[in-house]
Amino acid sequence: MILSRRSAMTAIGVTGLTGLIGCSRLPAPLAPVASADFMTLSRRLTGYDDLDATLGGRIQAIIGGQDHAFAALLHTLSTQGAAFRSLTSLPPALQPLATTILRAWQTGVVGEGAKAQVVSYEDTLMYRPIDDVCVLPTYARGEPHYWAQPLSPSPSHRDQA
Amino acid sequence: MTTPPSSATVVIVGSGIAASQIAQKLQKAGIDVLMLEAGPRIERWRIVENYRNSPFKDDFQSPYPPSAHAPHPQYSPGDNGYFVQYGPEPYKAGYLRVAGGTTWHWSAQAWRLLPNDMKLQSLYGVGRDWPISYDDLEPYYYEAEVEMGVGGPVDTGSPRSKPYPQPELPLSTFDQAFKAGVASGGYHVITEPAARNTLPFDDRPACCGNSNCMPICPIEAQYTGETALRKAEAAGATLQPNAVVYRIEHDEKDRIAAVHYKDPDGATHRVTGKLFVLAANAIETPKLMMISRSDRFPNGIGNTHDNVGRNLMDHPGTSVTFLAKEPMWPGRGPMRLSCINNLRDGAFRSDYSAMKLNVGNYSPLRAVSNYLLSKGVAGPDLPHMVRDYASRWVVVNSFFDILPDPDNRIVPVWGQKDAMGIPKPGVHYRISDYINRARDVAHGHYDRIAGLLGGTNIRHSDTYFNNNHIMGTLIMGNDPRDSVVDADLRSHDHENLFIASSGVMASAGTVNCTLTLAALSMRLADRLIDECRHA
Repeated sequence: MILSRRSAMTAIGVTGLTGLIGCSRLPAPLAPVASADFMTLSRRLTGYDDLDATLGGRIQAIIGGQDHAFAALLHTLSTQGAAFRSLTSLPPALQPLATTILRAWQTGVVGEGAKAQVVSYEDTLMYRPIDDVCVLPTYARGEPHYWAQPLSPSPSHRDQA
Repeated sequence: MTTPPSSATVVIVGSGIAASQIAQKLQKAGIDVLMLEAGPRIERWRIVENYRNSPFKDDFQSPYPPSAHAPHPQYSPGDNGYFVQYGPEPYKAGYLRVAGGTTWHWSAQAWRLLPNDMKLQSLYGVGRDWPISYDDLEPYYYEAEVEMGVGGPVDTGSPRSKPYPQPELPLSTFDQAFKAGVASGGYHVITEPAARNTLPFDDRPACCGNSNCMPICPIEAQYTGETALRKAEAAGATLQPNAVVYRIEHDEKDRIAAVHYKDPDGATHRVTGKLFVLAANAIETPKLMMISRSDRFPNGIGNTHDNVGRNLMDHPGTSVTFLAKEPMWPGRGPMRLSCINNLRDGAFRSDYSAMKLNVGNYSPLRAVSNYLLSKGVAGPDLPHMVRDYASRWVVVNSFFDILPDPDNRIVPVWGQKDAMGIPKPGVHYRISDYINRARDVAHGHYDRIAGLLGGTNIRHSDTYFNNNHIMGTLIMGNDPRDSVVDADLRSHDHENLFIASSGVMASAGTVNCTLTLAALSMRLADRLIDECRHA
């Protein structure tokens, strides 16, 4: 059986789990929280409504200095409304910025190659859709051999698939 | 300030799994051992932190920053230029110069060779025969399995005198579904033997499925060179870290008299001993031998017949990724649990390489996300598609049995030196049609496997990747004209010089080489104890 987050904490010991999470936190951000425009943009791109503005601020600070482009991208997205599903539907000039922002939230990395910077680990969005099934690498979900037990995906997640 | 040790009965260059297992065994037999490690000591928690903070999480070298005085290859964000590639094929080895060695980032697959892997020439007319047989190695395989806490199944194909010392790990639901799904195609999937604790053992915890065997198990459920090193030091062995050996010195009788190392400040030190063991990785060890030149040995120590560094092998691999028809949910538990075990031997080996096909129980999320982002998926569809794709994402890869070829070789690059003024290692590497034919056979297997699982979106990667199983460069044999060490792992040229390295292996087989290295090391330790007692 898959342990819920709460029962996993009981199983491992709250101190142990919070200890693990605590030591993976990045240093306190120096960047201010993200602008309202940037967060609106981020919500539209990622499909999530509950994004963390502190993390958004960190991403925005690295991308930086593109308020005009943020506004243009936001305007384009608002004209698409609920139909927005693909980066390829955006004007080519805006696609690189949209990709950078979405990749940052989704994978926790801003930029590529030598300029790549990690902005998050446990808050990275890619883990969320199956966090009832797959452990965040390096973290522990539950007791040894849990992986051999039949799955019971959570009802809320099951609706997603 | 303490004076660094300058002599020991047995001096070992290196502190990885082979060095440390030998050191532990000798020390327990009352023989004092000094290990000289080029790199620094590192701490597990810091590597875990480095991993989480790395933008390059698919690169197992990334969380291990090279030190200035003992660099190792880095490939992300770009090649650091330490390991010089002469081609024509890349040989992107990932090895670590740190206390404990490269098994910091292994996956703990603890395989025995098949008996036939050790006599390819006499059975199939290709490659080379080993100067020892499987039966010679069998008791030492078991000794290594006991030391490392190996668990495995009954049906690996490698004969055993005793059962595995530990129970095998249970398969994940993904591996179970894969096994059931491909059985009707004649594919025999078995649990891979692993030095990954099924139960708590030897003061280390049971695996609890942190999904990060590579590049770092956060809880040391896997036995590693660090485990071996800690046990060696507990037994009384001495480790001198940050000691970059750059020269091996011989006397007038061709015996090794000393090794010389530089500390990070560039100061030089001479260390004497009765017996010397080189266990500093199958790339760095041949380099060290070849740069240790003298009037009597102008090609380097142990290199009278120009065999050092030659016959470089690995397990070149290819892979396939596809979406199964039904959710299989990879990524729960250890990253690697099972493989297809019935393509590893047969008469076909005269014509093309045998293969082990590995089932990847990796967390699929990063690969899935990058794939969907590359297709432009965004907005509310993205979380739904991540979940759907991640549930059906299947990766299978291969190990091919490359044959030893003297033209595939490690060389010292005299014109390019590291910060300590020591030549960098370079590599010449070509993959023959013996492997190319196997690649095409594997391609067909991949398609068949995908078909059995109702696969769609089948993406082949037929470009070879390295598996960091560095072998052959210090090859063992009975004839000094075509080998570096004899059946006892003693240098043909130097009576008191021995080599403990996967480089001594005379064939690659299709399985991860660490347990064979450990077994050879256990056997070598017995030889060294015998030498010390009768000296």
